[in-house]
Amino acid sequence: AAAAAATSDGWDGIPADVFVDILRRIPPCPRWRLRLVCRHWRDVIDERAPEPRANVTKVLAFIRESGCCRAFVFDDLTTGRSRRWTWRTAAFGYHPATGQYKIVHVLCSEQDSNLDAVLVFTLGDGSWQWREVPAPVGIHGVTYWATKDGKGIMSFDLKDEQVAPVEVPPLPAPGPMEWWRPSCQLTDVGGRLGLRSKTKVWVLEDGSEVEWTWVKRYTVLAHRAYRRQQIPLPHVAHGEHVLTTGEPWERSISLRQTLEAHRPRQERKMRPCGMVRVGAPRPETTVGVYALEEPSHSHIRPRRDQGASARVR
Amino acid sequence: MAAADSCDGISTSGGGWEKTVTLVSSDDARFEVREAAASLSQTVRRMIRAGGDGGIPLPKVDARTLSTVLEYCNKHAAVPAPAPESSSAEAAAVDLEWFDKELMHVDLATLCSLIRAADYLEVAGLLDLTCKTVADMIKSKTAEEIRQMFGIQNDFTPEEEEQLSRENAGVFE
Repeated sequence: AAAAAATSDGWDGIPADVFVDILRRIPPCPRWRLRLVCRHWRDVIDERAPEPRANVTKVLAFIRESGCCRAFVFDDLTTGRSRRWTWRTAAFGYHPATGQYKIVHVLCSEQDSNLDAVLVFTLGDGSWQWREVPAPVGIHGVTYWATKDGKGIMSFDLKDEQVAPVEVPPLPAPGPMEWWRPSCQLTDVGGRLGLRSKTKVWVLEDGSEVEWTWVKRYTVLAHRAYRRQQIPLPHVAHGEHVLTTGEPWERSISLRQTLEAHRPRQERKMRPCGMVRVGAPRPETTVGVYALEEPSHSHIRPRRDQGASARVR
Repeated sequence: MAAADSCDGISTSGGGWEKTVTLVSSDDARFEVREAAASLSQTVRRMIRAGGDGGIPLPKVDARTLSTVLEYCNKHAAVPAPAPESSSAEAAAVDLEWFDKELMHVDLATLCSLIRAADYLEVAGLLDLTCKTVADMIKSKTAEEIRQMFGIQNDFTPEEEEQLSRENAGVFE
């Protein structure tokens, strides 16, 4: 590295406002990493150049029920305010520049096939309305989709209109029972392309078009009796918490589907992959349990010890 | 250097068709600069208006840094403003871009001096250029590489470090 470190009257003499200006020019992902440099940098980033996502705590979870699928949006995990609707094909995205979450719904069933338009729903704009948008909409400037056999991924860059295959990490063969969804599925993990297969989540490092590197990020293990336990799409993670849905047997009948948030554990052998043990003997890693059965407002049952309002970022 | 006009540090050189001012660095080097170029610095512009004898003192900028700042100002002030669509405007913009890029080929300590000077002198374009350059330099570096670059001590306790790496693991890393 540059051994000629800037002398103390070099970097230290940079005025605070200029330092903030420099930090704000760095995209959110690398800026977040810069919090690790020292206390001063961490404090300046937290106070004056926070990552915009930190203020917005939205979670979307798709729940499959008999013959129908529903999407729940949690406006705010601390209050559990949620919204749901049925859906067929939808994509969910966050744009860092506007700080807005949008859901894109492609109308492709037989009765309303109208592929020259998509429906867009912007969370938090106050309207709670679907808007028709006449052209395809990209998330983060690039749209990704999994091939029909679930073995490959394609990308479409909305800027240069290039369709390209994306290399896929070696995926384990579908398991017999535990994770019923057979193919790999794409998701958004903290603003990066994620790939979910059975119990594991990979993340595409950096999204660089030249070198795709998949890094295994989370592994979920279910302990004890859980029914239909799965990592929900489209988001598997909310900040530092990993989400799962399922039907814990031991809960009352009225509490059917639940969304749970877990803090992944960094187990030494597995680094840097975080372990999520659902229903584990050490339940302190579960930070929130949210019921999903109410039509418009779900009630929330945060764990007494941690509380769902525990730092979510 | 041309003889300074006695009254207020503003001199007239050559045929008297271009005004110049004299800037004095912290180490007493004197620079005679066209007023149009020096006025890219809001700080200098205010001092010209205020008037004064024997040149404008800039006690926070050394000669080496000031000469680079003035190189920037001379170049950027020299560019006339032709019709925006003309080919010469395009060529001038490309030329300026090249010039800026070349100017930023300096070590980190020099870059830091330039940032401080641009901030103190309020040369907006140069401050923007230098901040952008530093941001580009550090955005792809690891925390450890940045500590080495800037000579920063890692002052986190092991617990804090654990906490930070947990936060990082959950979000991006």
